Amino acid sequence: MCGGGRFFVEPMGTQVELRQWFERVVRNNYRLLYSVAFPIVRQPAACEDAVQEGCLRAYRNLGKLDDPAAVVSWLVRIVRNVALDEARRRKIATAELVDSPMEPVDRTAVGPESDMRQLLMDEIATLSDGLAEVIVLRFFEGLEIEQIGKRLGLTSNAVRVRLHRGLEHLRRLPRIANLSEVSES
Amino acid sequence: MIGWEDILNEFLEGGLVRADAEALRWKIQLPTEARAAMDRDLQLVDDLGAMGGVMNPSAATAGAAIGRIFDVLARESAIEAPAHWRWEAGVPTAGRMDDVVAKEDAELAGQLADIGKSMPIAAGALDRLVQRIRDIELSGELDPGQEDCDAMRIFPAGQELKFDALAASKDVLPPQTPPAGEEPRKP
Repeated sequence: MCGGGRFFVEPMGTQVELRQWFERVVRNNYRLLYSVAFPIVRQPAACEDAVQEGCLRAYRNLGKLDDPAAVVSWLVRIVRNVALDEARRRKIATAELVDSPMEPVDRTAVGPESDMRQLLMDEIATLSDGLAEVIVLRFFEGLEIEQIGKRLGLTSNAVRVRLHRGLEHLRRLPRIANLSEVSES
Repeated sequence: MIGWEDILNEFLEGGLVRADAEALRWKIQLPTEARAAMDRDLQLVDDLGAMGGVMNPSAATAGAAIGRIFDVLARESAIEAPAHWRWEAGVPTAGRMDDVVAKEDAELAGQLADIGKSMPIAAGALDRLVQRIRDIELSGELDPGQEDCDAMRIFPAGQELKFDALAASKDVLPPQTPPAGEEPRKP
């Protein structure tokens, strides 16, 4: 029971269940959490740190979560906030972060594919709460409305509304706007 | 009647594959504005799909990162789940407050039932005590001064006799006088 002079007190009952359940949630949604944090922090290492810190904060505050069916949405929100804090902190700490999502984007200069990606990331990063995860699950993971609803603990109608709001936001991108102008001409 | 927007929305929501939307674009004579809107959304979906590859970690990276998260969680102190959660096969669901109240009522009812079960034991003990007193009375074990077993008396009769004898004796302590300069304590 005691090894190396250290005692480990293993939590009992629902405490064990709680941790195991939360670990499953993290494992099943890691890609989603990463995809939500990445457009904000832009660096893989910083993204991993943000997801880890977000998961830890969420775990510590599980007692405040009212509905366990909403855990994924809740976790995404926490990770997103951690990523935003990290982006702000880096922006303050170093003046090098010129492509921060907090910065206004120059929408007139759109060139190569990578620039388009940057703009798209900017737009995803600035999506309001609840929209980014729907966009990520729909277009990055290829889930359908019902599957997204089940994953996020939302009704199908709520998912539809968020999806179309998110798309409306993303349609403001210049290249896409230009494309429609080209088509019209 | 289903319009082109319905088809496009169905595609955006995942109900149709891209080929269906493309077919619609080519088969149906669409106004320029509608065609532009379709092109815009198809392009947006393409761009988002391409982004997915960039913004997703590799399986190995994700696996290592998840492992680190689990290590951190394992070092955390135990967390209590909210009281209204219900666990079934390791998955929690939110119980309603009514359920919480009902559970507390059931627990209280269980406690009352336990008390009810213990009452006959107490009653049995009391019966045994009464029987013992009767046995003592019948056997004449009581002292002459203790024959009076009136429950309303403050002291047993024998004890009162002892008090009387003590009061009459001269060994009773004299009343205590307070030290000089101090008021006597009022009863």
